[in-house]
Amino acid sequence: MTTTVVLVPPAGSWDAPALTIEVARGLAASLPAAVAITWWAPGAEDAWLAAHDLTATGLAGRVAVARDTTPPPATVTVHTGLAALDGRSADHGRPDRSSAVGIGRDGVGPFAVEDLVAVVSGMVADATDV
Amino acid sequence: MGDPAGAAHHMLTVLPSAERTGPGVMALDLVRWLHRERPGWSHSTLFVGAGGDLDADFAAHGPTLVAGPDAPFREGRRGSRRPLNAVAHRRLRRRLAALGPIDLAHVHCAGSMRAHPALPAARTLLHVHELAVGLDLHLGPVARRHLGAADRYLAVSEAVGATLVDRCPTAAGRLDITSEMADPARSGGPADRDALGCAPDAVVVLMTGVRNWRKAPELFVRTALAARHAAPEMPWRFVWLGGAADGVEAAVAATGLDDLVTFLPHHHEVGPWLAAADVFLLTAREDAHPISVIEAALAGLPVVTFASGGAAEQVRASGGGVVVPFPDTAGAAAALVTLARDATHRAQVGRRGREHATAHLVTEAVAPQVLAALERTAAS
Repeated sequence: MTTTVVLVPPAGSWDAPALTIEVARGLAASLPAAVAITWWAPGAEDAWLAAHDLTATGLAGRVAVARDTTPPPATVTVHTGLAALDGRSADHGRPDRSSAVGIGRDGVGPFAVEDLVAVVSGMVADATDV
Repeated sequence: MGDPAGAAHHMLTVLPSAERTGPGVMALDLVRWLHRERPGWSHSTLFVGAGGDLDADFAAHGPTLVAGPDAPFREGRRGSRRPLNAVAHRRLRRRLAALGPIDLAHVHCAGSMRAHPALPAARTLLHVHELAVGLDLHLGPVARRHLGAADRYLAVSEAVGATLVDRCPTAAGRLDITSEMADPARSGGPADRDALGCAPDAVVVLMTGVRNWRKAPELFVRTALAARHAAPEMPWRFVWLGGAADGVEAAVAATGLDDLVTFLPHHHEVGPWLAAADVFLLTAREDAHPISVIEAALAGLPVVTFASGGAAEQVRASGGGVVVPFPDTAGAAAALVTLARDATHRAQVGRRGREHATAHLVTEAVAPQVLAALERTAAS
């Protein structure tokens, strides 16, 4: 089964700032290519904004954009909003009980993209070992 | 047949709204310049969406109209609203006819082309001030259908021209590039740090603009943190002018970063802030050519920007700053540290930017190019 990291920004990306593109860039640099990275962006505008950032950073071939209204299957769910409560509730009631992590929680400080990337990389390594 | 030099026109300026945005400020500067340089011309203004701050300024030069629902945005599924839209456009055409015969339309922003079916039988110059956000994401179906209907096109940067031609290939042979422009008077003013609450020895990094996805305030904060991490001995002060309170401002306040980053409301007079600042930082992920960057250069500020649109073109052409790839906040911070640590270097870079802006980006330099494009349009 493919190990998949799903990035979850808050809904309404135009007005709801998030660190998704920097997190995506950090994870693309640190995770093995076999680990899939998916940016969950339901809604036409959020999907357009995600695709714009990925194209601008040359990551369009590495990070997929998921437009479905239901969150995609995840090994690790990463909330990329600025605060602990930001983000769609992708990790609540999920049948696969995936691990979740985010800014302002799980020991990751505010705006601490590098720390978040390190935590996710560790979680992915653990999941892969299992 | 050519347009005789000095031929008088009744020009209709068409703007998305009368809000104080870059295109509106630029259009107002142009109308004022034309009022001086072409006193025989007459002016009217159509605000497509809504009125606003600039209405009174334009009204000083001629009548103004707000189209509102008479310039419809949508066409409905499979064009189902087209009959209704045609009625709205006829209504707007009658209102415009009351302004007298108009022979030249200067339409600012692609989205304003939704008013095109209502414009009088005038030559049309579409002045494009936007990149993909304006030409894809926010472009409504009516404007999109009429994007190719202008007689000529003017793009505010090479990047804008390329983006336009990609979406509207027929514009290619009818396109000129001229930068945005700024009135140097707005970049002057005394440097009174005390009055602005900045310590005399602070390294003041300034950004101005609305706060939304396009301008990326979160990357502004990330760059500030990276600069402090790279050079903790520097008394950094990152100031963002403009925009309403947002999640970034709340996160900064909640996490005690307000000694490093300050968000302030829009200041109509930005001159004192430009005079007080050391460096201008543009964190926009996409910007056609912000007037704020021209104003910063005119004030002698080095500009650090992500590689997007006219700001990057301006910095590369002038040597008046540093361009880093989007979204390399560490790279932007490294550029700020270099500029902050070496006042002589900073002054040299700022001087290069100012010389270039003074020669090429002020109203007196750019408005004649826009006039030439308008005259080519009238003669087309």
